[in-house]
Amino acid sequence: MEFRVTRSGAALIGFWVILAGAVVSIPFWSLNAVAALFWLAVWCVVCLCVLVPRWASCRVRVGGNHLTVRRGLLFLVTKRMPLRFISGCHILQTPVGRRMGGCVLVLIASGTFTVIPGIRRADAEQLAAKLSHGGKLL
Amino acid sequence: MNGRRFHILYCLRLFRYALLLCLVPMVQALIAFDWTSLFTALKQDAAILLFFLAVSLVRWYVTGFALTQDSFEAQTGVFVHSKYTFSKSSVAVLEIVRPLYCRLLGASRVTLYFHNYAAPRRFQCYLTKRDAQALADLLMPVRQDHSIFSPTGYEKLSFVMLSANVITACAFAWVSLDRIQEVLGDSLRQLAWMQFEQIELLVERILPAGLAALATLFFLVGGLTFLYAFLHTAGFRVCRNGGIIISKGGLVTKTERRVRLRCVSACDIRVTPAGRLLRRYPVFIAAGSFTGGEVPLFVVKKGQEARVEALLPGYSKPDGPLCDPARKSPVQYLWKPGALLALGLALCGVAFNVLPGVLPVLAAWVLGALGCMIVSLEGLRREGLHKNENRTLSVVFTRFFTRHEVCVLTQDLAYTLFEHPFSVSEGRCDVTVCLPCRMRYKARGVLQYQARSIPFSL
Repeated sequence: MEFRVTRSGAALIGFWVILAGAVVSIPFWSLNAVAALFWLAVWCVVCLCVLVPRWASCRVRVGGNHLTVRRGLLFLVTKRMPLRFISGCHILQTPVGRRMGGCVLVLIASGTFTVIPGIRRADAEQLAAKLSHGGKLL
Repeated sequence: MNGRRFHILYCLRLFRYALLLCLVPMVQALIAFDWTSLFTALKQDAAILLFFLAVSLVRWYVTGFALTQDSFEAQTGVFVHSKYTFSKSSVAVLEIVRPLYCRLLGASRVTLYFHNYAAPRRFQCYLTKRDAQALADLLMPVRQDHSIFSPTGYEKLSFVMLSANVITACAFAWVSLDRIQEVLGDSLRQLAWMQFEQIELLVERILPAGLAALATLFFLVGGLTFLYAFLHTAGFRVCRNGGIIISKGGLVTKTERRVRLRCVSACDIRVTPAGRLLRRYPVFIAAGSFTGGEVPLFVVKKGQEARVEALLPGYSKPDGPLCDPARKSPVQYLWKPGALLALGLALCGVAFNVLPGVLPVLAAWVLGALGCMIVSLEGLRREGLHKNENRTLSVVFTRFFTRHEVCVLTQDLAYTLFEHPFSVSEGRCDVTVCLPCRMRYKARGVLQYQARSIPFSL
């Protein structure tokens, strides 16, 4: 059983992150508009060229005993959690995300948690259903 | 709920802030011999105290706890009631601490640490001494306790030295100084500073100026740390009964800790510089959300690590190779201490020409960086992980001056593997093991195929 984050889902999260950057930059517009615009442009480039491809590269694999989340293009991070010790599974949805069928999935296990932004809602719900049965039933 | 209440100290935590608020203007007026101000301050203090007392009493009246056959129920809150029910099996560690002020009032501070990853991760309350004992006997009953570790003589000295924690002792001293200063004014800090300067002048007769200050500070902090450690470890002993480990001791602050054996998630033997000198290593354990505390569970003599099994039956030393040093990257291990060492040496070079007086202080820096580098070199040779035949996981890693030899006993683990382009090409990765208590053990340069084959059903 393997899920992957969709490009549109990752792009949507990227849009929200860019929007958050724009909101943070509002107080600086009156001080130095050119500098604020420059840093906002840098933030957009970082989001679109680094963060969104990184999120889009995320793969979730559910094995017999454990769940593996793998992400990254150059710097690969693989996180493995035992299925029976995953104690929380949160699905966060925004109105736009709901229309696009995407969501943010947060998995909480012992002493750690992982955030999977931009996963398809149907996949997240399927995973949640599996986890709610202790990883035994689907 | 059978209506038993917490010790009044539980609610008087609010009241002590009121006491501080009252004391400061009163003492100031007394020192200035201003009787009019004193009477005004007394009136204000009375009003503040009455208000806080009323709030505390209401809080105390509505909170309570009950002991049922196999659970502990607690209720807190005035307007918003929170009711907690903790079953016997959910408690991993029970800690009863009795500082001097609690002992004077007949109270005990009880902290429960839980086994499962859920909220709250721990619960703290004040109970009377008898209730605390009843709670401990209900949640973790002990019929007879055979002492396994009760240090005497040289063992006791090494236990005190290995329990010394500079950061905790300094923080404790600083807070105490601040509290006393709130009452007595700035005079205490000035007095301490004057004493420090006098000792420094004395040391300056033997050592150069900069190094004298450093040496004085070192001995002062060391003295404080050892005093703190001595007070906390006096009369310390560890016992095991059935599935419970009990450790108790302390002179001014008495501490009793009961750990459920099946909840122990990791056992960490820390090879510290002091431990290397004394040839004895402190052993810490993590259980549920409990991270090990300040005082080690006991100390073990070099070469006798197997003695840990007497306390933790599941413990095992690594029964195979932890790593392949030939395939590791020395740069990964040595760049941090190497950079510190290079910077220290460069500064020494500059100081040699410009300011020779600073050289002894910089030499201390260089020695520290050198020590760090030696430990990192040891890490290059030893750091890694290995799955043992008795279904435990051994992790060895170095951090600053200390080598940690960890035996992970739980299956409730999460792993993070980190790879970058260079490590991928050489088939290595860094593995971080996450425990339920949020402690993380990071082993660098683990072979990729080994890291990927770590099974969860250990």
